[in-house]
Amino acid sequence: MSRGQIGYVQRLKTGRKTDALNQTISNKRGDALHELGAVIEVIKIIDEYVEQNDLTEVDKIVLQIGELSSMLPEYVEACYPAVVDGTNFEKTKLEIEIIPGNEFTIKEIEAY
Amino acid sequence: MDKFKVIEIKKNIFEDNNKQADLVREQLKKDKTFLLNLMSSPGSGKTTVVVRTIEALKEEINMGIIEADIDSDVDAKTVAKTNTKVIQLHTGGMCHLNADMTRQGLTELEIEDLDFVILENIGNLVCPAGFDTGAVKNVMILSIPEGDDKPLKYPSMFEMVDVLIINKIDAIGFFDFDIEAVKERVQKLNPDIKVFPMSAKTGEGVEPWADWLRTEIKDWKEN
Repeated sequence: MSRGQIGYVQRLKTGRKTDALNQTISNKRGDALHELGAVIEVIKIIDEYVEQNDLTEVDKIVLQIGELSSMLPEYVEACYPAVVDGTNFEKTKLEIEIIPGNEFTIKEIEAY
Repeated sequence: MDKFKVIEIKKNIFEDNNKQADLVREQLKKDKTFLLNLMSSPGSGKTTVVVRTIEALKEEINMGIIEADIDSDVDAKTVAKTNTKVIQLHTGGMCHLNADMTRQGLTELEIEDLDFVILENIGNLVCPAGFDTGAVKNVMILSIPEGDDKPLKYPSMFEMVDVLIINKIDAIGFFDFDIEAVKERVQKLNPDIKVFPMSAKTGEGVEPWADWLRTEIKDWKEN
């Protein structure tokens, strides 16, 4: 690209099917900003884990969210359906455990 | 549900981003490009600081700018007037940049001939503090109208940056803002932090900031 001109990356690649994601999020703009990136990370990590360990289906994901972390559990839940839409995790349930401290971790998955 | 087994993962969500950020820095080192992550709340004067910085350094350093916003290209248009390479990222709703988005921006900008890139992060004092972008140094702006209590309210941001620019010092007469109190508060959180009071509007205080950048960019390229 050249100087004085503006290049654009309109839709950053998030590793998800971004059409559905952007559509859902733009309908909710302002509702679930911070948590969105974190939920995308969750799915990315689990996706890699599933592939590396030859798992075929994930029934449930259990997250632990620290009370002092900057993640709001209800916003994590609100983002989740948009992030998994059109992926192998569409039917995967999400469970959130609130813990002390500021950690945000994937505790476990139920899979086979 | 018996067929499913419970697999313990125990993985911090941000671990992967930290790895990606290290990869971005490795590549920047190879390319000899210094990436600065500039953060602040909306309206603190990030784009004006960017334009002042371009004016101060453009004759001696090849620069590029990555503008990131949820929407619009207002900032990119302002920067493009300086005849600098600029790319506008739209995060589509996200309130911060992570390392992978930064990598996409750097690729699009084509940084091979650039010594210095400024990443103007989303205006936000909370979320960007939690995500390593892969930048070599992190800088934040606090402007006079925002108040001198911000280090007390948003400690994470003040803890993680290398530099604090106190902007809009030309307006200090209109606000109850105590610069010394801010310095004391941030040094308690972050003893190594460098503080540059500045007015990006008038140009006052820009030169010490530009000097710091010259030294850091040279160090990154040579060491």
